[in-house]
Amino acid sequence: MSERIRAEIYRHDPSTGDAPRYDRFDVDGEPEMRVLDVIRAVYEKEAGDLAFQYACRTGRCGTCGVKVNGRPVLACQERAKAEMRIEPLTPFPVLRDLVVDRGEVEERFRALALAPQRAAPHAGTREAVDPILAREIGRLGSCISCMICVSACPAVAERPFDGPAFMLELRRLDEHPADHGPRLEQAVEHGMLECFGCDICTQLCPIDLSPADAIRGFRRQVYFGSRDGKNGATRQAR
Amino acid sequence: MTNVPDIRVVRTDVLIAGCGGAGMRAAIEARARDAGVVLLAKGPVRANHTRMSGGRYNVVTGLNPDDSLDIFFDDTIVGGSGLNNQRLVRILVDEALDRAYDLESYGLVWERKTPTDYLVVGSGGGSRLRTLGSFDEGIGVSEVMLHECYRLGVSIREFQMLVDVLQDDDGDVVGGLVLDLRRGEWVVYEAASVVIATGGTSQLYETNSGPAINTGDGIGIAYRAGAELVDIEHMQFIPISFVYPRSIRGYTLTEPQHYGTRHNDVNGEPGKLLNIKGERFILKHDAKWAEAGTRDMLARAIMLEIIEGRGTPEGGVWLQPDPRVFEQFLHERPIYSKRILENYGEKAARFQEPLQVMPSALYTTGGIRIDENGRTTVPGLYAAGEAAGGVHGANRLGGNSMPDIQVFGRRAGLAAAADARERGAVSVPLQQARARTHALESALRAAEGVRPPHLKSQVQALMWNEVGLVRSAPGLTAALAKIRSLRAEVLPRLRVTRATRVLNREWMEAIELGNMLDVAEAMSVAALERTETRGAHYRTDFPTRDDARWLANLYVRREGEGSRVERRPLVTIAPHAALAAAQ
Amino acid sequence: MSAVGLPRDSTRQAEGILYGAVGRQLNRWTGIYIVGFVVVHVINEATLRIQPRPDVLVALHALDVEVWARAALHSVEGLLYFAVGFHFLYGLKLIAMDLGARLDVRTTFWAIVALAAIPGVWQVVTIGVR
Repeated sequence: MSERIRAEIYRHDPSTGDAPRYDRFDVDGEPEMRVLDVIRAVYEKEAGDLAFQYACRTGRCGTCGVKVNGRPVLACQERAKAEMRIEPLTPFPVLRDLVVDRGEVEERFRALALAPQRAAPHAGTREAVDPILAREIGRLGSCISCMICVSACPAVAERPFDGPAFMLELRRLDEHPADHGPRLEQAVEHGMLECFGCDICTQLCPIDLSPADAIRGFRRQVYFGSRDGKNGATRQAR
Repeated sequence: MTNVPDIRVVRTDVLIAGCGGAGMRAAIEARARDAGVVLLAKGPVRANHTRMSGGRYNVVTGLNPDDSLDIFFDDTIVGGSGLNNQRLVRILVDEALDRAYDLESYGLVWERKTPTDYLVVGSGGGSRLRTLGSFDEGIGVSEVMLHECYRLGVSIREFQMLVDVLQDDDGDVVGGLVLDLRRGEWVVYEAASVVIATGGTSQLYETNSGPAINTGDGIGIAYRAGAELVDIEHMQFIPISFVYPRSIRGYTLTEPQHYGTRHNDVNGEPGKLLNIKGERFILKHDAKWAEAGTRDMLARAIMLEIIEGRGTPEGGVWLQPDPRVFEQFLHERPIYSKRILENYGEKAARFQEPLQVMPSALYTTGGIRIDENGRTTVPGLYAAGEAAGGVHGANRLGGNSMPDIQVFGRRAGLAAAADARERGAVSVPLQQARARTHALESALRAAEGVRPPHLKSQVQALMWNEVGLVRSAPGLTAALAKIRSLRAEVLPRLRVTRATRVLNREWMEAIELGNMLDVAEAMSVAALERTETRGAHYRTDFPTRDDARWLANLYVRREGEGSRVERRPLVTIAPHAALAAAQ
Repeated sequence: MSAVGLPRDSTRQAEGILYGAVGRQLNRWTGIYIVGFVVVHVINEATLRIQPRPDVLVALHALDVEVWARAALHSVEGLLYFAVGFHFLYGLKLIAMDLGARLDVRTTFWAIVALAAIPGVWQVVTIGVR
């Protein structure tokens, strides 16, 4: 791929009175180039004042989310397109150019109290967890909180719903044997029942998780209740 | 300058710079002891190095009857080529298990074979199986710690970069000067204790495995404040990392042994490394351990093959994985399988064809000298994690950084909170801060000069070529002169494209470059001084290990505009048989 | 190839169809289409005996009858069958997944579209040929 890549990048500094605009840049294409490579090339060669965010460049820190041609993706993972429009992740407030303010996101995580709420303090010895359940909790725990799913979710856009990623985190705690927090109630309170079940989050999750499945796990608890206290119903259903 | 806001002053007990594992662990401990804690993140809170790691955790759990604390201790010292601070290592091996349970109490779920038997696997340089892991790797480790910080009410400030510590007339630390990158405003934190947990310096090298924020800020800050650095000549290179595409070049693929049956069995075979002629070149370097050897030996052997022209056109060598371990690899490390699939294709991801690999700068083995409680040589200044030195000696064992950040993060937080309570209120010299901010804003005022990204790539190439895996006196001398001239002549001439104060990346990089050049200087000075080959430090002009002269640590301290390097005896403890009896 | 499934290659997420979005929109529009038809038909049937007929009811009657009677509008009728089929199957899928069925988003989408299209296409083809 030696052709030129044409990128239109959203530029806006809310601290000035200037209106948002799109700047067009032509970048030399390279094999396997990712969107982040294009953004970095623009910064290094053309627009030294471009504000953008990344840290790990390997899909782990979850901080480089942008919209490419209208669709939310991780800039470090998504392959560059010959023509693309790069915009900051919606619906978050823009700090400048491609960088959004995640302050409200972190406040929501904080408010959900996602440390295990234990009946008794950890005993300081190995805690018993079924090995298969341990993997499931670990799988849910690998969510990178990149907010791609929240950005893409139509229920977040139309209804009072915090977003798929938050439900996934609640689900992780609900599955955790030591946690006794009211996770189902929290999920309902934060809009779990508003989910359309469309699975856009499943398709776009950069690390192959399915927040929609986590939500459906909660829904089965709503329909059937828990058989043997915490986690019973969902364990059976799976 | 009418639009420059004045310095905002905020009071706290403990100021912690860096929101990776060490910083968060220090914050948890200090906050749990009722200290007021502010935790600074240079970017978003989730941008840290802990998150990028495989989260493997070396610990003697008692589940492997062949292992013991003493064997863990010995492995760590042998792996570190004898340079480790033995007092720190003893604490590491003794406290690792309690800290593993702490992580469990925060919600991390270790992989296990039965409900209470953790899965214990091997790691490079470890003579016994003693490595725990969780399915969510470093992501899970950092995530549960973040939620614990939230639970305890740690105040986390995103996009706030520690620029320097502030000291009173006696040199004691009384706070930190911080740039709020979101607003471009200066904040002074008045704090009796400042903990440096800003991670390593992998960004000093053009091929690196770390996050873009690891520019050695805290090490540079401590060095300027007069703190001693130890073992700073030792930079760890991960032997195998992605070679292409550009975006992921240098990202770790961990160790060859995980690509073979040795992953489960110390008598098994690691994945094989081959040069372009198909030769198993590693046998020339270490016939006994071969590809299961320590990271330093492997990285050097691979780099020499590449430099000597037996590498691939893309600049790597081949790793031949064992297809029999594919399913287990996929099961345990699906995130790595996914990255291999996306970058090298399906056959490689299924271990049906070899992968191209190359060494990459991973971990700053040395760092700020600390005592058992994270205290540096500057009163009021603490350090933990990758920014600190001494635990790993000349080379770090895979799986040892996770217990390091937990054990010494906690100890630093504990000491910082206790000392802050004892010291009481401090007040910062604002004049000192104002003078510093004026200098740091020079890049915003300059009409012409050099753009920071250009200087950065120059430094990275210089370090990779001359202060990297293969070193020699002429190269190091030239590099040191170049670093000093860049610092004296180019650093003050940096300029930004546009003088906006809001999230100005060029401005941030200009400040980072000050730290990078200071650390580069210390590294080069120490590397030049150590006229032998040991651990990750390989000198072509002194290619053998010289225990008679060099079984000693190098300490580097800033003096005037230069630096002073001193060789001192190892920090040792009584042999562990006696120690074990005493306990 | 081994039976073990690899993780996804998620480096082309901005390309191709966003199945969830298309499915959800189709479900919404087929629902509106069905409701529209039912409303027209039911009101027409219910008001057949009203005399004298106001213009609006005459128009409504014409619309209802013509949708069914005119050969040129068989595609509208086919669309109705498709709408009923899609809306029914999509709803079933949502319920099945809520109850624990694990269905792939992409294949399920195409399966529902294909199944829903059968009666509509059949109708258009057979009536069209007659």
